[in-house]
Amino acid sequence: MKKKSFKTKVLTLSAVITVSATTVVFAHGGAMGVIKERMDLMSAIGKNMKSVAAMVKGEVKFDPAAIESSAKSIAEHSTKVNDLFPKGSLDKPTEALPAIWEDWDRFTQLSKSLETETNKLAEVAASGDKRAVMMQFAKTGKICSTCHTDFRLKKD
Amino acid sequence: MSKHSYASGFLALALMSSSSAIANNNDEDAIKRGKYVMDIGGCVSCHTDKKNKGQHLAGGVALPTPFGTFYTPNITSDEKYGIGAWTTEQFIEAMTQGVAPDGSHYFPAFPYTSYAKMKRQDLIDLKAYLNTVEAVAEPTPDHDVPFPFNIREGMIVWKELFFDDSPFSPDPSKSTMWNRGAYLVNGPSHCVECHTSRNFLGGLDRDNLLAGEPKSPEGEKIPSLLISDGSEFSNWSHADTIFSLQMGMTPKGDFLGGSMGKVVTNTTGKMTEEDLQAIATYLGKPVKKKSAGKRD
Ligand code: HEC
Ligand code: HEC
Repeated sequence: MKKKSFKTKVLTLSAVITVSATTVVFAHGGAMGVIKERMDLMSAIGKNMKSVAAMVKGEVKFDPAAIESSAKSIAEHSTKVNDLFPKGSLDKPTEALPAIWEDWDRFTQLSKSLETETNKLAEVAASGDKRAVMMQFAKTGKICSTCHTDFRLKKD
Repeated sequence: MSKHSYASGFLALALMSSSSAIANNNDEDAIKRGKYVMDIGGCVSCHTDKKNKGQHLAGGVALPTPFGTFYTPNITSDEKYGIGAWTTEQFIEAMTQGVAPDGSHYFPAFPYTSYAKMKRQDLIDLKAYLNTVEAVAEPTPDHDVPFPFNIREGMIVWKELFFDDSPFSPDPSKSTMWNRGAYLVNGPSHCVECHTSRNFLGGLDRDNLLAGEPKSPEGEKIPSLLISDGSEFSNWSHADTIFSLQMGMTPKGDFLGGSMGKVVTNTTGKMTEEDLQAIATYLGKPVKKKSAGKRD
């Protein structure tokens, strides 16, 4: 890997701190075991997307290095998705749908695409091409939406 | 460039939403406008069976309700199985009165209760577009609705109780943008149909429009879109609202899914920037005046 300048490191570090310091509370009270684990995993993915979105929207300064590290983190998380959905794991308060196991191939395709597209996001971020980052961010978001549309249902 | 227009520029670029067509009576233009009316009306969400790889607008999507399961009809230009043989007037009657060409009454699973607010020109354009949709010669399953809800005549009573067929009337004390938002939310885009609770007969609780529904027939929790009830949505900014309607991403970094996922894909994600601003404005999130110091 290319050696990063001190400034980039500081920026990345501060981005990481900002992300973890932002208290994002998702409603998953009472979850246990694998359900809790996957909710935590998804929340971590969500936090990374949120920090990238803030730059894409121009709310905070566009920082390619921070985007690259968020994207890599999502890619890494996405490799763990399938294992956290053992067949029939539908204990409360899960929002997962039984359709996951009826269409397991598609579900796993989506988690795989998430890995592929976020790795691409990391690549385009490294190139510093702002426009390409925006396009790739939108592409990544489509995968989140598709999986949440077909395999997740909000409940009380 | 201001932050706002920067983000908008990105969205327009990344999602390639179509720009609003200029009114013109040329056929080509009417079809183009009609395609956009189909998008803001979200026809695809219910009339294209994506899950089973069904063809564009050929119907067959199951809609569970407390009264039974409805299957959406084929609305392609097929003359036998679709609506290709309908005149524009018959189409307008179906959309705004809930009455089929054979005189039977539709069940309100078909949201004509909102479509009744649609402008005549939008409906004429929509029919012009639908006439160009490739005919699919495929029947759709019969509704699976038990007695007594299977009696279409019962709908006459239901309509008497719950159906207000008055056209949309703009509020002159509000801006053009607010009124456009009101039209979309209550009319073609029928946001009220899901984001409002229903009584035991399936009529919308009109006193609590957009106040959310804790448990839809599909068991889905539908959030409130009011800003006066301390809902999650009340904390969203104008930009958050637009971003989530266009991309599906909430301010927390989560992505909307379930039936709203379809709305984002087929309806709001295809809207022009102006229409999204109109919806946000109507929902109580007007565009912030640009503050001089805050620029990129
Ligand atoms: C392969 C399918 C899939 C993909 C892709 C996916 N998700 Fe999820 N996500 C789910 C499911 C299923 C749940 C519900 C888990 C549960 O409740 O057990 C969920 C839940 C969540 C939650 C709520 C967690 C909680 O605490 O309840 C967040 C936030 C989230 N996802 C964010 C994202 C983001 C951001 C992306 C894209 C970068 C994404 N997801 C991509 C399937 C997916
Ligand atoms: C088919 C039913 C349906 C229709 C129609 C619908 N919604 Fe939704 N909406 C939902 C559901 C379900 C959710 C929750 C989805 C989730 O959290 O994953 C939701 C969530 C939302 C949210 C997020 C609010 C929050 O607090 O998280 C907004 C904003 C929203 N809808 C706006 C609209 C607008 C504007 C329209 C009309 C263009 C509309 N909706 C039409 C079902 C619907």
